[in-house]
Amino acid sequence: MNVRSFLRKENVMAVVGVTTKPEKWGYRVYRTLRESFPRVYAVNPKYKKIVGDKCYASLKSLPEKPDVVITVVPPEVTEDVVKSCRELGIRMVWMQPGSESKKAIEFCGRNGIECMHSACFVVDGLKKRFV
Amino acid sequence: MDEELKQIRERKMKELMEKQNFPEKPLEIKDKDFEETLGKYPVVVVDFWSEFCPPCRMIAPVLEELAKELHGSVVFGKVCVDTEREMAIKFGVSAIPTLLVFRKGRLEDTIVGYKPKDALMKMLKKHIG
Repeated sequence: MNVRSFLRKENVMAVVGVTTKPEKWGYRVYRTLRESFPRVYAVNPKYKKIVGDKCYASLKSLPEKPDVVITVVPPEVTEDVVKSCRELGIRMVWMQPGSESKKAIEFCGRNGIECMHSACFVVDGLKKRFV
Repeated sequence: MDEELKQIRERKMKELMEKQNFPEKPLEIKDKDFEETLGKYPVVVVDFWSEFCPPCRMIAPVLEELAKELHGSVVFGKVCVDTEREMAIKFGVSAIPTLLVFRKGRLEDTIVGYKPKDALMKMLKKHIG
């Protein structure tokens, strides 16, 4: 698997599990990606907005299909997220540390979804903070 | 025959001396020392890491154990991407932890993300000749 295919500039990114709390990873991941990618969507049914951007209730409600979904949610929620990814034809899922689940990883393997886990990603060739 | 035995003894002694010079713990590598370190040992595994990355903290003790078990065959190094960025950029490190496996100074393998010890050992054994 090529890690760089996840981090292409032209990719549409969706962060599932964004939060408005600056100390949480869901906030840091979204903020960092927003500075590095032109199209990043925030997903969390609890919020209407995050740092001034619209926050969507689910992957299905996004205005376009993301190329990459990043999960910053508990493992059992990741298991539902990967099912939505299959339904929507999303081919790449990056499970941030703590959100990975064996079941979800195996599901990705069976359904042809590229899955990255157990790693923190680095954006913009390390010019910006990794998340 | 004596000459042959002498040569074998000398070769074995040389190998033993070289092995003793191998570090048993992962070396902290700075960007400026990177090339020199690769040139010093036949197989070098470099771990690009950061203390803010949970999987990097998980893999660190695994690499320490492997450094002991593969002592004499493989040397392990660590590059902290918080302070050392040049080599990470040069080798296109996009996720951490990333392990780069160099043999005779040439990049032979890239391993991304945390892997359990057995899996890493299997991957690394391919590079020990």
